Amino acid sequence: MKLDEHLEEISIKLAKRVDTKSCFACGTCVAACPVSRLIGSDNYHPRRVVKATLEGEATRLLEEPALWFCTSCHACLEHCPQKVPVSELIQDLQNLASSLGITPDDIVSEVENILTSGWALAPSEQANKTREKLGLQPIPIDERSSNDLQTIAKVTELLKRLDTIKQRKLKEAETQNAIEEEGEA
Amino acid sequence: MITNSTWALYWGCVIPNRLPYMELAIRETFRHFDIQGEEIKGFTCCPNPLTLPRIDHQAAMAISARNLAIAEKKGMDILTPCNGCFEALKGTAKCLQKDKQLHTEINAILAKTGHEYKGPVKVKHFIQLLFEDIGLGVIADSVTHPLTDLTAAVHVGCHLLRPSNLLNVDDAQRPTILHQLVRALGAKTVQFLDEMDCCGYGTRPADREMALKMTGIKLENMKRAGAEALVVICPACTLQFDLMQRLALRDAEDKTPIPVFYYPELLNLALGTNPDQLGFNLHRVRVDSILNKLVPHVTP
Repeated sequence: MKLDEHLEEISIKLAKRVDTKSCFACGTCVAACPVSRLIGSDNYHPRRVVKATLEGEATRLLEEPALWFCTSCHACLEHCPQKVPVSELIQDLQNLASSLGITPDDIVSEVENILTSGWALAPSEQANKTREKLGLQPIPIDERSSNDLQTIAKVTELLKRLDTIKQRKLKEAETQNAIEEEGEA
Repeated sequence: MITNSTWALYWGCVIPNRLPYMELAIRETFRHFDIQGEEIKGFTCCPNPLTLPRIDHQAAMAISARNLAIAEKKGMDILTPCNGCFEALKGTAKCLQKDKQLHTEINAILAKTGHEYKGPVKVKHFIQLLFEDIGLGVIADSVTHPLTDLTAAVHVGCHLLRPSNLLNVDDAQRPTILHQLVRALGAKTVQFLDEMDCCGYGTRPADREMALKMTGIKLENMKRAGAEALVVICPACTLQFDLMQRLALRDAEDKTPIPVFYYPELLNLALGTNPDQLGFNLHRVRVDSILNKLVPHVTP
């Protein structure tokens, strides 16, 4: 699927959930957003994400690190007088960025952990030692369950996206190496 | 609701691994109020709403639905003490209930793993169980050691409440459940500036420093409001406020630490449980000053 079609799909999805044109640009989502208040609305501005999407220009947001600053606190969605699901839209765009291979490392490594161990935090020996001291049972491990998760990753887009992310990282590293070698030569 | 006699316990990963003292306090609470729970084989990550759905929302829903299906097959409703797990599991259940087409799509994915999610299973947060099933009256009547000397700030955590159209637990902008639960133990609560803002954990995967700044501002605000301790119910908030507190207050004018209590810990103290049984030594920020005041008969 081409990027334009992806974006169109997101616009249609959003339009189905709510009347997106109902955003009357009041800026309540910006005032409600803890990230906007912390780093300034010039640096993070949820309403502009809605606007860009409505105007079919969300593509330019996909490579911005700020796309990932959202805390998922859903304060924007909760305060919006028109019930525009801003935080859900941001997540849709993050999904789209991931399908292009753009995702912060910490998110990727945790998701890989989930697929191999079944959990974001894999049961550890150290944790079980502490638990024993407290009189708690060790954390159970069930390998069949992580097989199920890998199946889900294959059937959905997840595995493909993780692979695209890996490829993009490799390519970036190669480019970086080439620049360094050129510098040395 | 399937049943309220025995709950399928969904602990998540942060509490058992990083904050086992929370589990201890919950299990003590179970004993005290005769709540029955069962460990369920086959549960996996909820998955964490801050990571997996950001890469693939559909896969995240399928993984949540798989957990729901497992409890459903056992004929049990789910009880979880973790806000993140609660949002993932209850949010998914509600989304699938609202959207039949989505429900069919997710079940088609689940079929490849041999599971089916039908729908009757309910998801409850542990704090809801205290407030709705046990109730403020019973809790207040059970208090033998009132915490009258304590003035605390409370932090509910975003994912107990929001999105409210899916979770529907308490007023999403002005929640009172936790304030009421703390007051039922005899303690006072204070409100503080931007109390409902994120603890900072949510932005951690993208920018750790930004997360710490958010945490630091909140800690300063609650101290300014006169809180001598903070009461939390969410493991992610606990990691930020307790484990990361020293770093979060690095640049603060007032670096005085503020002890962080998990609500069931305070509940147990008020019910007369010996603090030695609760693993307070595992807190990063020392709680001795408050313990000495609240339970002078026992020194930890």
